[in-house]
Amino acid sequence: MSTDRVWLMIVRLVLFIEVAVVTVALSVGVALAMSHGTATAVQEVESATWGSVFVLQGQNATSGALIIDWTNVKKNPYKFIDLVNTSSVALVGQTISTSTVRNGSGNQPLPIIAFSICRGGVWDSVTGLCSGTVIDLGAGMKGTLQVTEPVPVGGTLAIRASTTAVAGSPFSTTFTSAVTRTQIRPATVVNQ
Amino acid sequence: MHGAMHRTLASWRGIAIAFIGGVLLLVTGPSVFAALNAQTSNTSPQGVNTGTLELTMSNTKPSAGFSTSIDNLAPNDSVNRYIDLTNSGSIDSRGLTLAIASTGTASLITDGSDRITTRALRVTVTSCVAEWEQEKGICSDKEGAVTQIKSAPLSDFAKPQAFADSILAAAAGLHLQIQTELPDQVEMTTNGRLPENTVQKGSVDLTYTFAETQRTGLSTNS
Repeated sequence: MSTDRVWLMIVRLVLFIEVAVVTVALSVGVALAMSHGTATAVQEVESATWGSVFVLQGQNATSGALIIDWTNVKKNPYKFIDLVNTSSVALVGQTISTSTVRNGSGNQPLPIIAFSICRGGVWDSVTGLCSGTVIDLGAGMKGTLQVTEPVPVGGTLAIRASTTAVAGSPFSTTFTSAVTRTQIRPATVVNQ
Repeated sequence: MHGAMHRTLASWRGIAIAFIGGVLLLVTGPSVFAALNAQTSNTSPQGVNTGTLELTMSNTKPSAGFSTSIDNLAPNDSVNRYIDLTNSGSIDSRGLTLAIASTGTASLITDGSDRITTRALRVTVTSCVAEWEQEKGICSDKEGAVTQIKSAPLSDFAKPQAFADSILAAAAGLHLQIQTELPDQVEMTTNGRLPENTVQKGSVDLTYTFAETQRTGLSTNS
């Protein structure tokens, strides 16, 4: 290919690019020529949380399951615990469960753990008495119990866990609480 | 030699004739055109004004519109805010849209996929010809409320969403209800520990941008 032909091709290419650039520039110019109006505002939206935790009576709420070792149950068959609403919304229900294991050897049956709520009062850890109204929740070795007592934000259910075990090696119970969205207050519609 | 000189003189003669002809054209030409010029003008100047295209929004009291945040949304909760959107310019507009730029907790912006079942915040835009009865969230117009933009997750609003009634005449306005909803969720919190990919304790900043485009250009004969 001669030098002249190469130069001719380069000139043609440059011309093509120039035409393309001018065409794009003109089309953008046409689009920008159309007037637009806008109105803008900023808003923040935050979501709620829901959940609860078991703690020993009077203690601050911390996340995680509560594990209690039972000893000398013949003399002291009660454990006083709080079920604290850590949600940012009121609760209308909770699901609680226990898991109990023997700490020593032997094959004695697992003890039964029963739950009672002191509604509108507190449990006296010395006498085991409730200053309000006692609500029995039921008992079980395993599985779950449904609690339907309403609890406000930051509120607490005063619970007494009791065991009927009278013999055998010491044992430990893990207390677990769970909250689903169906157990929080009903949905709301706010107009403001 | 005498012949060559004769040819040179002949060629110079031709050039001289062409030069003289050009000079004559330049001299006589303008005088010919000047003779054909004529003009007229209007006695009073014609006024030409350009129009304006302005879109404004205002809180519809008692609603605070977008000026206050929405807190503590639980699943199925919804919050309705009320604004008036007005084409306050002098030119009719078309192509009314709403875009929302969202930043913050991802699960509140985009729906979960695959095994993640979280559902993001939804926004719905509804209009009423009459004023809204805000306390009840009711449109008192006999034709009822009109859904302008159907409920959609925030992620959809990254692109402008068109209003059902996308034409807004000059000086006309819309009474809008902007609904923000957190859809139902399947989430369980165990022992106070939030699940993974949760919508709980989330926060997003939303920038609402309403936009309109001028009507198509008009060619008027009058």
